[in-house]
Amino acid sequence: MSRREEQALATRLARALDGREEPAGDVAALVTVLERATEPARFAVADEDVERELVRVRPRLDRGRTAARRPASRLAVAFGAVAAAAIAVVVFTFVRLPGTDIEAKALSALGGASSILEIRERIEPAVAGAFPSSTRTVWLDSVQGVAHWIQLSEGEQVEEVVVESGRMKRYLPGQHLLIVGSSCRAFASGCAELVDPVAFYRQALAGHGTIEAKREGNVYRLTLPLQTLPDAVRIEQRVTIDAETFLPTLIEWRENGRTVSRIAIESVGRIPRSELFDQLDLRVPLGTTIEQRTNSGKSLQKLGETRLSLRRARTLDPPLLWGGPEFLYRRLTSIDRIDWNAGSAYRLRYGSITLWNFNSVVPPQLLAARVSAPAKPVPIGNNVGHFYQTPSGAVAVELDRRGHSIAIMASASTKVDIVAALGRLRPLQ
Amino acid sequence: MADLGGEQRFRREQRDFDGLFRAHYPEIVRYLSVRIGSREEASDLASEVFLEAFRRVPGLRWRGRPVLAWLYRVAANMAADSLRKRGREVLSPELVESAAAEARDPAATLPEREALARALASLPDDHQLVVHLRLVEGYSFADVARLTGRSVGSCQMLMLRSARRLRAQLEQAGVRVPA
Repeated sequence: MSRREEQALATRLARALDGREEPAGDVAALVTVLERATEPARFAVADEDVERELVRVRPRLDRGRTAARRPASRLAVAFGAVAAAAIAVVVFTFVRLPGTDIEAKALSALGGASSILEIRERIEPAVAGAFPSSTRTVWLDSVQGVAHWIQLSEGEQVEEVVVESGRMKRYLPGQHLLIVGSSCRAFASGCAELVDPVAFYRQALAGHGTIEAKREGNVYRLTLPLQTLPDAVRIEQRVTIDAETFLPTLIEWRENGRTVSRIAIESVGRIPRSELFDQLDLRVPLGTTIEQRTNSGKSLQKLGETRLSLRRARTLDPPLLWGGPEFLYRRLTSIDRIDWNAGSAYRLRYGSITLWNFNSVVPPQLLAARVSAPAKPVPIGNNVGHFYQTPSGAVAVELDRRGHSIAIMASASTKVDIVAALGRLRPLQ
Repeated sequence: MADLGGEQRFRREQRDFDGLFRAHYPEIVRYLSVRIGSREEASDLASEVFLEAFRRVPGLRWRGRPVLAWLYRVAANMAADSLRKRGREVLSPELVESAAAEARDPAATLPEREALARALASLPDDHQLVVHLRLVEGYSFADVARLTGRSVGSCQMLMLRSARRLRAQLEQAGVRVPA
């Protein structure tokens, strides 16, 4: 068929779809195909669902507004150490159209939002001797909001942090301590220490552009507008980029024109996504103390345990997921709600099998098992389950989902059993 | 079918986040449902699209295209990222279920509905967007052109190619769609 005939057919199809021409022959068949194929997508979203979602989203908007209004006075303290990498602010999407200006080239040099960066940084005090210099290697996946970094000082590992699925784990080898929190606010140092400067720079470029770009020999010096970190610290960045590669070589964070922190970027590379899983594993030695923190930084404390009847459990909203009265050949023996100061979780026991439903708080029993074993991600349906073997030999799987995340711990079942069992979980209503 | 409006509406939507959300959230959910194969995930992802909008839309410049065009572009990017993250495209049982509930032809079989949904999900992104805007949301070809930044003729050509691809896929799956 010639191009002209194609265009004529496309016009006839368009006219038929617009109802301006009675479809016939091939056009009629194509109209039918299109209409049938799009039927599943023609569903209504109820007004109340829209309003509910708007209510759910609004606090996240308000948080941003509140943060923007707070004063900048905490800057100097917050940047004392300027270690470490990414959290909420790394989860962003490039929407800026590529241009030919310096900032567009600088953005492009870092790759799109989907690129995974491996960054080597040297952190130095702005005032010599204020704190020891250290080096840090960061792996950053801004699409998934995942980051991992290892910081070394005088050749010794002083910190390892993983940010994943909205949770942060900070391992301090010198203290034999692992701190787990659901946001950077759970940590004493706040968010300033937990934001990678390159991620922050990239976000600033994508969001606001520069207010000044000057060529000085083989480099450009970019000044970026004032930005607000998640814990309301406000900073101005001056970034030196290589005039050939457009990659950053030095990032300075400034307050009132005074440099308070200096991060030398030794290298920025991109790694394939397939290698990311290898870089995300944070394993801590057995015997490490685990502290779970609430958003406000307080230690997690158990407040109580309540036994629920089946009838009561059926009334919960969102509903719990359960395996029915019998699951993997074991009868349901109890349903308990465990309350902590940061939230609650539900524990369903089927003999030696425990099924957890949780969201804001990861049950400490589960956490303790999780951090001492490497997790294997396994696609399950349209989700990903994380399997691991606990130190006691039990198999555990976690599945993050809307409503409640779930976890199954079973001592005498295989991974195959559990995958099959996951498929049989259903809402308890 | 909503009127896309001009610069005045663009300016209003830049200032009124709630209005923007109420006006366009449902269609972004519908679009993402097809792209990622799950209505539930689509609802979550659509909220992320609007959170991004909250941050970026006030800084957009008027270039003759509505805010909705920007929303679709961000939604398309997020859907692509989500699929990449997932590593493979999955046909959602719930989408097939919703098709079952709402199908015009009660005699349509589950395999046929699956094949239809799978065929639609397999279209290239730009084809899928044109089909969605015209067939699901009911925008005119002129509006589809405005939203996608293409000419009307190009959108019509994409529609023709989409229809042919869908038909070929269905034939391959052994589904006969009578005229």
